[in-house]
Amino acid sequence: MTDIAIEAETLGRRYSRLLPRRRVNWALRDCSFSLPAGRVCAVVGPNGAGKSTLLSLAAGLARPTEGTIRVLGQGPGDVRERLAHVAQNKPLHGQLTVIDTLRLGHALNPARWDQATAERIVAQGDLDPTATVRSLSGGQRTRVALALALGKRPELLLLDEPMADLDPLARHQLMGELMAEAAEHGTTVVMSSHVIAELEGSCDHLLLIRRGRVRLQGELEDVLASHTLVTGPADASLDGHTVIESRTTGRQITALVRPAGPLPEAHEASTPTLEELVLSYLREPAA
Amino acid sequence: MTAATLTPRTPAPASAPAKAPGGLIRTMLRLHRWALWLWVAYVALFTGLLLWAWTTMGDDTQALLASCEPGNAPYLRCPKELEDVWSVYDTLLRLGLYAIVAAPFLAGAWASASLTARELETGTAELAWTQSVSPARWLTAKLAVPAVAVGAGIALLLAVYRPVAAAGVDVRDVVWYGGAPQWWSEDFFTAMGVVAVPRALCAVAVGALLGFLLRRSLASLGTGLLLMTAGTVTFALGRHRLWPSETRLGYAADEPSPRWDAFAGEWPLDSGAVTGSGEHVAYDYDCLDAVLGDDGRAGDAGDFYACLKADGYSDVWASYHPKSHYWPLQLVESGIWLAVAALAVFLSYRVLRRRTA
Amino acid sequence: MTTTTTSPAPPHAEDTAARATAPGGLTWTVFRLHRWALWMWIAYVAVGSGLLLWAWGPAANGLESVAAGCDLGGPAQPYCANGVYEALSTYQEFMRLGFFAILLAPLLVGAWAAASLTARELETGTAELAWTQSVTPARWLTAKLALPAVVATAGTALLLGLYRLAHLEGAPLFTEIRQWTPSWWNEDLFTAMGVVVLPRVLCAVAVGVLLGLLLKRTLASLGTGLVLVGGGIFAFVLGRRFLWPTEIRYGRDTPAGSPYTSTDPGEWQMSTGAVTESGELAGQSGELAGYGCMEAGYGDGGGAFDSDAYYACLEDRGFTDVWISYHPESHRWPLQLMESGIWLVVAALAVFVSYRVIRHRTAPRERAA
Repeated sequence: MTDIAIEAETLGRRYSRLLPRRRVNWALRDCSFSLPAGRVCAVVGPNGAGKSTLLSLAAGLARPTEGTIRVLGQGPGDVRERLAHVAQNKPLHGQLTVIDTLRLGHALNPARWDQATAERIVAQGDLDPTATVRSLSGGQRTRVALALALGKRPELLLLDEPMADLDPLARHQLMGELMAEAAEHGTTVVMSSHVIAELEGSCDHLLLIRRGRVRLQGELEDVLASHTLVTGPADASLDGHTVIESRTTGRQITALVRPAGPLPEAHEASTPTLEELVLSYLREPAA
Repeated sequence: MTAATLTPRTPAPASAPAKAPGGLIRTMLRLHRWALWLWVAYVALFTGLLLWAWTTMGDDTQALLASCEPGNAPYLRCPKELEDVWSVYDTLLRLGLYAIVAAPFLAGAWASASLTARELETGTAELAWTQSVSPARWLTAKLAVPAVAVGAGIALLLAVYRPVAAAGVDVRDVVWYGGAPQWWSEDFFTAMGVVAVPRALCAVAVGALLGFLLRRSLASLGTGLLLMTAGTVTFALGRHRLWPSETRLGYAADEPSPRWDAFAGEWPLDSGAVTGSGEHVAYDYDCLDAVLGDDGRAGDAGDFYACLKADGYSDVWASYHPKSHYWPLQLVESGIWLAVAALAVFLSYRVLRRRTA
Repeated sequence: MTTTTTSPAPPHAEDTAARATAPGGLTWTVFRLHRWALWMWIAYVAVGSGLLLWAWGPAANGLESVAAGCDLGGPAQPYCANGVYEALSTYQEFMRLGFFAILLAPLLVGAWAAASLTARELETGTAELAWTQSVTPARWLTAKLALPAVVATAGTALLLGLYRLAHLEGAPLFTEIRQWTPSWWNEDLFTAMGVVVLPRVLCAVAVGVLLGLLLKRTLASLGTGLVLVGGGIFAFVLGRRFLWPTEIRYGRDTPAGSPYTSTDPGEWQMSTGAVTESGELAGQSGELAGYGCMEAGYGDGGGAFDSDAYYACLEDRGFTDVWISYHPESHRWPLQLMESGIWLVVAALAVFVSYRVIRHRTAPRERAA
């Protein structure tokens, strides 16, 4: 296994839409980052930031317009066997039964398929394996889609908004199972989400995308440690520190800063939570 | 991105709450504008072809026809030219006919795939039901707008077909030596009558119902086409039972030979012999060959009846539909299509009511 | 839930089943996904075959036995003629239905391929599911093209073979009863006694797959596919005659002296006209002159044709001869092969573009396997 799961260099992807207007949309632009293997990485950003595009590029479902992306040390087209991708809408064949869906996974991944793992994940949900996928609820579908992805024993698991349509209880349970599987096999997981709560506690790497560009990336601990949430009088100067976002309430100011040195005495400093950090970056005025 | 590419597909339901009168209709038209354009193009194309056929029967052709009177000198050239004109006219007319016969199938295929099935499959139906229009009104628009469009289009085609078909009769008499398409043949019955309109309305109603029940566009499309085909074939085969036929007895025909078939213009159904007890039974006309002269000429009626009596029969009979049954048959068939359509509409509302509470 | 519910079969059975599917994994997948379509196609071919078998067996035998009881060339026997007529109609009806089954096959296959094969998978996203498995998108496309092509071709070929048998069984009697041979260029005989339907079916699959890839919407693709395949068939029905150069015969070369009276019923007549003094073949004006002079040729009494008078009349009008262009029966196979070739070229083009589209949409394989 290589040390780097995904490495992108000035990666860009453009969708040119001829209709209704001659407009060129960059879904992703000038993204350079590298994700270490063996981690659980969260790709966060607002809707339309380019998260799905990034995951599609990594899964080999689209070609970069510019730049390069390497997955597990190779081009995405060469590592289809070693990665799994679960798209946002959990595409599955509605007419197949759950058993047949797993069978399809086996048929299409003859060299790697792990029937026991796939069956275990299905069995942990309360669903009838002979039911057709069409008749399943959203949560059950997600479970089957994950079983299909994990049954392949991927080295890299790309999940696009995996828990979006689940209730909190199911989300918690499925996330737990997912993390257990990933930990057991040393799978690298890259998971996009805008629900920060589901990432907290399970992710150890962060990639923050906004308007098609990478705004922040790194080990979660490092990222959190390098930021400080300060509260203090509004007139005190924060010059010299990088202010990500600040809000004034009365005479008090609350700001997320990346301190360049010791902060003014008047301020009360604390480590931000992941949620505070992400929200601050998302609220940050466009650069 | 996925979100961006998906949105253009479902903008119409979102605009449904437009309170302006006709907002729902406008939504419908917008949602199915592609289908509407295609339908308009279909009707326009075949109306144009029919009108073109009409122009071939203009003054030039009438003059040519006049010069073709039997006995007129240039009779050898004239039929050839007339035939050329006729072949163009006939081809165009036949295309118009196919268009009319195919229209209910197209309407049915579209209705069963797109009208409700697709909306239920993709979930946009639920979206529409949560807007401020009630589901029942949504369904009304779903049924009424296509019904009007389809009905009007087919009615236009039928209205154009009739005079165009009539315009060519004189030429046809010359080219076909007086032969004419039978009024009961499937194509003529459909194109010169009204059944195509209720057939298409039924197709729309049944399509909408199938969409509700199956909720899958392709399954619904296949089933809809299958049902429409089955219905149309059933009527083509069984239409003659829709109105009581008339029966003529051989002696009553007042002809020098016994008649067990229909006169020209009558739709022959069945024939046979009458037993001594007055029953109408099938008969294989053995006596016809028995009385056949050696020179191949038909035998005498008297001999035939004598032979018949010797076999224990008193007379021959033939059942048929006179031409006056044309409209009763049209109306009964139309009525059945409409009744099925009404049933489908009723069931659709029932299903909708049960689903949306 | 307990694990037992997921594996109703004992573990070893599961294993053997799994091992069996592994080699033809993609094949199994395509057949499993389109199981319904496969059953429908089998049913369709079975019904069509049944009709043609009936025509070949009972209907043709019935016709033979009825005709054997009648003196076909002798004096009219109304009862007998009626029986022959009915038996012949029955045979013809079955043949007609069998022909429709053959004619419609490319349309049905095209409609299905356009709607289900790729369009639906792209619409619902399952195509991307397949493309992130271990098989490459190109292999996925190959399976999507090849398996339906094989199945559709096999079914259509079966129908064609049965039609041929049934036709050969009944055609001589038909000719004897009706006193004319059905023309080889008629749509039914050209289509059902030839091979053009097979490339049509292949083209329908290929174009359907391409449309699905391009439009990514089931119904739009279905409609477009139907229009394209239907339009293609219609275009060939109208324009097939131009696919091979016609032969031309001149009136003076025929024994009877007039081309119109000596046309072989096996010749597919295209157009007629007259030859100008400069040797050009005049179309409409020549044709008018040719017909106009018929009167001179037949004289007032309408007796025997006087070719000298006919050509004298023609020369008065400025023409030296009359001509007719036609396809002799020997053009049947060249025409069949030309049409087949065009369908196949279009199919190949569609396949090529489909691979290009797939390659453009997904990440390439950089390493040689």
